[in-house]
Amino acid sequence: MEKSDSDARERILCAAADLFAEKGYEGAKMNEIALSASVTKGLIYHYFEGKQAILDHLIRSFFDEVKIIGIRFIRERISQMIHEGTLDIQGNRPCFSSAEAEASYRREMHRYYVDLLDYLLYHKRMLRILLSEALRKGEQHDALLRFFLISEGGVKTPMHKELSDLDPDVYYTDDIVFLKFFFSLLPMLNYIVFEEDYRTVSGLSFKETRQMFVRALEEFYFGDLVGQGVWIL
Amino acid sequence: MNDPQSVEAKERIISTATELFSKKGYDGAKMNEIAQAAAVNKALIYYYFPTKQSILDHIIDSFFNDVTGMGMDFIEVTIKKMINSGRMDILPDRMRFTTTEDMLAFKKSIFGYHQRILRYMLQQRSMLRIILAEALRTGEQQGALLRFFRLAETSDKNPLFREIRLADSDFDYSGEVIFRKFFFSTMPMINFIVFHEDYKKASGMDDDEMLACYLRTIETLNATYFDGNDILMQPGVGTEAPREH
Repeated sequence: MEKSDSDARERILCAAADLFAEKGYEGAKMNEIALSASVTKGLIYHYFEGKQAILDHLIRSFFDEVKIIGIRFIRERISQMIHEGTLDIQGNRPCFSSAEAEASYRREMHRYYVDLLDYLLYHKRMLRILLSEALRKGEQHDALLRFFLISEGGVKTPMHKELSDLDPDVYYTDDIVFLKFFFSLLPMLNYIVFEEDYRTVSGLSFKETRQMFVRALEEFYFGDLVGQGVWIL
Repeated sequence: MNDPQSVEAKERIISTATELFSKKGYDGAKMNEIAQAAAVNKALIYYYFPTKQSILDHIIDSFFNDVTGMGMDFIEVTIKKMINSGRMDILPDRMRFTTTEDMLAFKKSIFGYHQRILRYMLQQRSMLRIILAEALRTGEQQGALLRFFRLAETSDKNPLFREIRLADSDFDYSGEVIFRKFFFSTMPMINFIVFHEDYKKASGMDDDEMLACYLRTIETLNATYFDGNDILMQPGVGTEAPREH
């Protein structure tokens, strides 16, 4: 593909993401996407079958990137600790060989949460689209749920699969999946999407809300919030 | 226009509009459709509501009035009564109960209150869907979603806060508590209701299992806030420092 071609394709995707986020999927028209990407409508149809195909592509590539961040973290950090024998996962609970191992795990997790949060904040437009799509009734666009849900039938999230390859003892009960989905994943998406609005009403700064969010997430995952040492990985 | 028939028509307009806003979005729902589905003429809608926006405002206002009313009831029946009879005292970071029975009575009562709120919200799922969808439209500053923040705000403008504070002037909590309440308690409940059907389908759970799972989760999460006869009002207060007992 010529450089200018791939430029045009990128421009289309970028313009579509902007317009979907701003006007919703239904509200964004192909004409506007073409105009805003400075291409002809014919060229859009050359690359994409239609508006739905653009949306599918955006969602897929967004999830692919999130997946890469998660898997990279597991491969580079978690797997090392498991191989060294400093970390052992039982069910959804990480167990450590020493206090140092626990402290180093907490540090790694902290960095991971901050990196992930910053990545998602940068892509808040995509999350806005995802949530709006998830809200559209009767839509088959359940990408959000499909990506993060693990059912006992064996459908696993890529991250979960990666973990269980490393340590076959990894197991999430329905309650843990539920807890993670409604009390950690969705709050994260909500925080990213509504953070600015929240700042307006609360008078907090971005730095403050981000710190509060990371702190809450850490307490959640490190068991303080859940109590009785229930750790979640 | 207060005879039963017109009250009924007004109610029909409201419930039809709620359904349509929820299904098609605020922009997608047309006044014509509302009139048709409510079996009234458009003029009657305009008699009650001058604009489409005013229907939405009315729906959202009455929703928040109901929620505030339920909170006020709980404060009246439980919090104020327990404070006034000396069974409970509010300290800067916790509620302290005189006896274990008092603490358990409070726990039971607040759990009942949460269930009432949840049941009400489940009935109002179309409403919550509208609120969430509206909040997601960019440029919609200070949408209705943030009114949930107002209900937790430590300001005299918040009737719930003002009422408890009148009963015990020590009552206060930090911006971080409000933040957590909003993102880790209110939003999960809204999401639970709005994505209920989707989650049900994806997980294979039925309605009862979903509800039981939600209530179980809330109980687990709340467990760390219980400390002897105290209920903590600050995140991590009882857990960050090693406990003495």
